[in-house]
Amino acid sequence: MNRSSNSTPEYVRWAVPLFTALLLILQPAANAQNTANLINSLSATQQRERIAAARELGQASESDRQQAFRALVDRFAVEDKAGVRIALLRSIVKLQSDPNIVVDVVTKAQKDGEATVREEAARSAGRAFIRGTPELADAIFPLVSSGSCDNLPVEADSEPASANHLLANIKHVLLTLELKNGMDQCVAKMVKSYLSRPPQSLELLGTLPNAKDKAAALLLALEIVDGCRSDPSTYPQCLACAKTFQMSIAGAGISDPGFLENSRHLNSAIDDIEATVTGRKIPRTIRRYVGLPIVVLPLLGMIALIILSALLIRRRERKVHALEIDTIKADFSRQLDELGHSAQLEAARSALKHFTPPPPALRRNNIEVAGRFHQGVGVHGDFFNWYTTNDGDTWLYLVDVEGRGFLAAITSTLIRHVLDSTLESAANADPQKVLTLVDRQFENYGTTRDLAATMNLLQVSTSNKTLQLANAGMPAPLMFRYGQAQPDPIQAAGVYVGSGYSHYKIEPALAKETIGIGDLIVAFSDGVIEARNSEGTPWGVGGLSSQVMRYRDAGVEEIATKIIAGVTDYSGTETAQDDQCVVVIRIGNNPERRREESAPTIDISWEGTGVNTQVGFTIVNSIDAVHEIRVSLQPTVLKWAQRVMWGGDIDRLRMGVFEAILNSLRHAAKMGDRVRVTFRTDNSTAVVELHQPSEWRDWDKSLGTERRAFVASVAELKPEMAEWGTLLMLWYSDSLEVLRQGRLIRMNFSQKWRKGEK
Amino acid sequence: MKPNFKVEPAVRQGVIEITASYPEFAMTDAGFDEPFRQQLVQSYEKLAKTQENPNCILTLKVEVAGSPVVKAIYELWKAVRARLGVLILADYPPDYVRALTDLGLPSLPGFELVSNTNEAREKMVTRRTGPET
Repeated sequence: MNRSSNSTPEYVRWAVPLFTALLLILQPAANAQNTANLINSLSATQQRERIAAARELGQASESDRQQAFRALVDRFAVEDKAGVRIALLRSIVKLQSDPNIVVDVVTKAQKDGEATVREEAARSAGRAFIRGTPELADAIFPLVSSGSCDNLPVEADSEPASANHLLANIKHVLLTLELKNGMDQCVAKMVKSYLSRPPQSLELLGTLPNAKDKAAALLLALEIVDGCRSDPSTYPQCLACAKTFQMSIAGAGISDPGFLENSRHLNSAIDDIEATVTGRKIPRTIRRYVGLPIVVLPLLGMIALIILSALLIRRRERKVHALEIDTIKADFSRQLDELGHSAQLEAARSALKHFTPPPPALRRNNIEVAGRFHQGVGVHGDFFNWYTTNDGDTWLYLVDVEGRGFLAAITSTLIRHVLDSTLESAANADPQKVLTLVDRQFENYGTTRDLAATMNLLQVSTSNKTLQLANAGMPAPLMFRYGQAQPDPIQAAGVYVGSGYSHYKIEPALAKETIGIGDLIVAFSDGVIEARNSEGTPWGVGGLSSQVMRYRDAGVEEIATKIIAGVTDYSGTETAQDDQCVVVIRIGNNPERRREESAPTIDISWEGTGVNTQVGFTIVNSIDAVHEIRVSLQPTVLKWAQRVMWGGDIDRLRMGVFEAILNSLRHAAKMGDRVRVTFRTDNSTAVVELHQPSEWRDWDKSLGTERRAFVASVAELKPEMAEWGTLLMLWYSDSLEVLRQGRLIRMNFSQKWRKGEK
Repeated sequence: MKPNFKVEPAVRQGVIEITASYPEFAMTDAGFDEPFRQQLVQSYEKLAKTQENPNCILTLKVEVAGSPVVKAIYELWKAVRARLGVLILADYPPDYVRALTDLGLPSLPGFELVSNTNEAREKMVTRRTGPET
């Protein structure tokens, strides 16, 4: 057992490095005096002197000695060289007076050759020292009896064959003894060190149900079951034995908290193994490699997802940011363009205003002309002009230049110059020839077709009562003849000036119209009739005609103004998309003379004399018709009636005829149609006949036998009746006939008091 | 071309006054009758809802009147009578009163024909302000 005598030469061989190490270790720990002494003593070169210096360490002060001890322990913990470790252990044993502390230190000396030092330390402390399993197997009974297990553990791998011997002794101890004073822990420690693995462990586990000390057996069972987990092949057997033991302690009636806690641990361990065996749980060894990825992979996945999301968000933000920058750039560029365009448009407007100003209204005895211009959002180059020649003719042109902006303004200026100069040199030519010359002028300039323009050129001769028109692609002007309800377009045709007007002959190239006092001519650009309302419907010629008809009796300036106002109201915005240009021409200038001198709405003819006098009226259905009936027809009828009738009959005839004429104009004549009314006498009856162009289709319904019978039967008209005009015709006349399928209405008024016979 | 008639309702001293006008050629337009009639009645109804006095003065600022106008007046009279009010017609063109008379309107209860608006107002003052029964 004592092997220390064989290692004496080691001390000499390792003395120099040992004390060099001690010098380094102890230097910072010792106080100044002892350190100096120690250094002086250790600086000696003689081996014996160095050993003596080391021995003198034991006589140092208690404080220095404790510091030196702790330094030696720390140094021992990190030292690898076997000789130095043993030298350090010897010094530790020498320096430390408390044996228990020494044992604690030397317990860590588990390397080869260090068992001797441990044994020396244990024996110096008066403790048992077991070097291996054979010793332990023999020593277990005295150990358990002595109640001291301080020197365990022992060598772990010495002589495994002795494990069976140890197992037999432990089994014996368990079956015969109750382990007191912590010896259950001591035995558990032995089992863990030597018998934790099958087959010995399972054999021991099989013994445990019969153990005398149940608490100690439970500790051992926990150690053994825990040891089973490292080898899945033993699970079934381990599980069976553990369950048997579990059942054995179930009825033990032990209420010690420690025992109950250990029991729960065992139950849990058994459940764990059982779940593994039955496939409900992955074995721990496998879980170690599989469970980790199960937990870690989703975690990594989530982290990756978060990183990916962050990258995507960042990328999207960059895109949005880039888009915003692009938008800002585009806006800025557009604003620059708009500024440039606005400046260009403003320059174009100034040029147009300066070079193609609208002329003042023309007012002469036989003609009135006025125009209005409403500029569109861009400069489109519309303009008009007129002047009167020495022979009294009036020339007018209305031009719409192709394109927009500054180029259109320049083109307008150029075209106006060419038009004016051509008109001045070709005053005797007709409008078609003038436009031909203008087109040739453009060719001479060698211009491209970019300078093309549409235009109307009118020559109005009030002395000859004629109007001539040449039209190069403009909308046809409208002729509102006096006394005619609906306008007529003045048709002439031609391609654009500047695009071959002189070469392409389109008929009629020249329109010729007779004109009379009160006629109204309206020329306009396409921007007027092509203006659209919010629903996209254009104003059209219909809208223009209605507006002119409404204000046709007004002055030409007001008519022109009302046309522009009308198209603006219709489109619902002051901002026109295209230039709107209108010229209004009226032949004559005195409305009263106009009525007298022009073709009358009512033409009156007289025949015969006295009571046989006949009078006839031709009425043109127009907006002036009622006015003319009131101011012309009725006084004339009254004059005629006074010759042939008396008193109340006259008024009866007047009212009856008035309602009959209204009925005819409302239901049997279109605007512009003519209705002829004649008054004559037949014996003692005044006969009034209305010749109307359209059939009075429902005359029978209105004037049928039943209605007439009803009227004849009542003394007073009933307001509830439907056709009041028809009723009045029936009421006032003595008889009423409808002839020629409703085209001729004959009313008879008997003369109750013939004049001169009363 | 549609006649551009005007119907201007107002309340003066608690009395509903409607002034109507239309161009002469409205008499020859078959499309004039119904809109004019509706406008007269609706203008009255709108004001009558907020007035205690259901009486009404209708003034025609026109040159001519025919059976379409007479019928429109008759419809207005029916609306006024439905509220137990009185309709006074003023400024009806004199040359055409006979048709109005012959169609029986002046003899209707709660209908009066006067020469001008001032006369109508005077008549209205002498009347009770409440509904006529």
